[in-house]
Amino acid sequence: MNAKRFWMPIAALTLGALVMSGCGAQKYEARPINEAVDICAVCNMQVKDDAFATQLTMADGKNYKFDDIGCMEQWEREHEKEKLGMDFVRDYNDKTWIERDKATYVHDASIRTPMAYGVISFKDKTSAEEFVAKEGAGKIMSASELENHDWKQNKDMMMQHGEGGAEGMKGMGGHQQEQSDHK
Amino acid sequence: MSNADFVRYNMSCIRKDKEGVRLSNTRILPVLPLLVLLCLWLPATVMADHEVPPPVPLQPIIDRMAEGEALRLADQTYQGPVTIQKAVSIEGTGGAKLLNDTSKSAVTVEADGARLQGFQITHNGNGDAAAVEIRADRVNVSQLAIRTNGYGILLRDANHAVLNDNDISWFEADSGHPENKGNGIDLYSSNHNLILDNRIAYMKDAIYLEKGRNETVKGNRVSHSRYGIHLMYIDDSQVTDNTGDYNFTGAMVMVVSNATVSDNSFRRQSGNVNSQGILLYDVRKSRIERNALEGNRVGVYMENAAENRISDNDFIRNFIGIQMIRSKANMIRHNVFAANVIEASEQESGSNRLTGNYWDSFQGLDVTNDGISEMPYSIRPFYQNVIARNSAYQLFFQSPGMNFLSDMFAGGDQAAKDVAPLMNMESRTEAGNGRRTEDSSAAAAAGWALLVAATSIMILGGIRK
Repeated sequence: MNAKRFWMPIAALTLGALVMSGCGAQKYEARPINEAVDICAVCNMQVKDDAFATQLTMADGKNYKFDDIGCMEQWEREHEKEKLGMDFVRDYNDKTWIERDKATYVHDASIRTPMAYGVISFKDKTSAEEFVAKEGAGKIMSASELENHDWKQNKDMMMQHGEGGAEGMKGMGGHQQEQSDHK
Repeated sequence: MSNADFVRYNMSCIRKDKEGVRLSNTRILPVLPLLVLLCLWLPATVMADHEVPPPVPLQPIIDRMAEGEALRLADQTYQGPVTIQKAVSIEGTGGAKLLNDTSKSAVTVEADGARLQGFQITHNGNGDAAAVEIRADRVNVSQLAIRTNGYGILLRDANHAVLNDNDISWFEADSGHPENKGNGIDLYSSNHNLILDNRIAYMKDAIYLEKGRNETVKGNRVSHSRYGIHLMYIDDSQVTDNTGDYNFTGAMVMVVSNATVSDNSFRRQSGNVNSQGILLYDVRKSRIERNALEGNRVGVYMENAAENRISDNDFIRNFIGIQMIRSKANMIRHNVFAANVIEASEQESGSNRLTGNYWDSFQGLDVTNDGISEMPYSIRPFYQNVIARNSAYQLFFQSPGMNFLSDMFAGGDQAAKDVAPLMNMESRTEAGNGRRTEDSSAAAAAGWALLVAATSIMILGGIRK
């Protein structure tokens, strides 16, 4: 009887330790989008449950959702000192979640995304190539090439229509400058 | 004979039967069911004779028109879709109806200077098509009544259009899941357009403008949609005299500079956990003036907004009056903050100038008797900062500990403060576009009724003793 009492706490402790060590190797999973409450952590727009939605989970377990890959990239740049768990993007065709670093990206100014960054993601290079072949436009990028992408919101599209082009361009420059001042 | 006439006829049959029963004896009684049956059956047979004529295809009629000609639509149903490639005018007196069951837009306008006026459009195709799709300049669309299962009016590379006095709504009055619907008016890559006095309800975004300049959005009524007026990358534009009710957000102003948002009323934007009257994201050098923001979750939410002037607005009965995040160098003056749970909050912001606002919860001190308090009024950002990190701490809202900590952190040099708060709600012109909410008068009436009731109970109770 006594021996049993003695061993019980030790067994409990061992079990507890096992459970704890299991938690240590944390696995991050993408969470479903809830359109009724999810808004983009950067631009505050509703996150629609579509192929443009992205999300990341910080090491502390806090999850942030974004309506555009560009918004998530901006958030990561602004929080680069904090520890990131995992970030996810979606396949343009079937909306499955993919780890950001394993996806292939396509950029073109003519692709309309919620915040007009014009970047979409694919689960493999083949489907990205298929998209570009079908649309006849688009630059294919790997995740590492995306690091060097110039995240320009496609505000200057209207300048192609001739109106106040030079002035608009100057305005953009000033705007970008101001944004970097914020950080 | 119209349907209403049938009903009337039918009713008179029944009435006559009843009179018959009352006047004569019971001999008529067995015949009565037969008579009633006859009455019920009659309309169906007559209906078959007067079958609704099939819709008249409209495209061949338009094809026969000459440039500059005007077509008068009769009060009947026409079949779409149609494409207009000549500068013609298509007009109705309200009774004509264009029906479209295809996935193309009901009317596609490709000719500069074309005109649509005074008829109904029922667009049953879903997807990205619309009741009216404009791909030309100087197009005029007015007094249309649009019911759509897709978009309302699309503008693509269309400049100098006038959209005036149209009624646009989703085919059913259901405000659920707006994200799965189309926009009421959807403008993309178009400049110098006038959007005036339209009524739009139950859509995704009532008015969505992306990439354009010098747009005017004036006098529209937007309701029961996701965002009432949604501006993205629109510079040098005016949003004035609009009314928004029951939307997720009244006006969503994003990545915009040099805009004027004035004299609008945004009320009761509180149905969604993230709703607000006006949201300003990355907005610069714009004027937000004389708006009435009442009963919203947040009156004005601003993030990354700089060098804007926010003046003469009424912030009334919102959960948060004005919320500023990472915003700087904005001027906030001559606003009224009344009956908000949290009047103002500021996070990671600085150099915003607050002056001459009226704060109803503030007890000022006016030594010089000029109507302006000599004591400044500080915003206490502590609570907002705490719940921003962990929303569960909202449990401690107004708890003694939270108030104590807020007081401790208030008054620092960093905290935003109104340097010259007003002592009274000064007699300035009312914000918004004039339409006061009925709620306040109803509440006052109810208050009076209660007072009278209470007094009479007290008096009567007293007499009995």
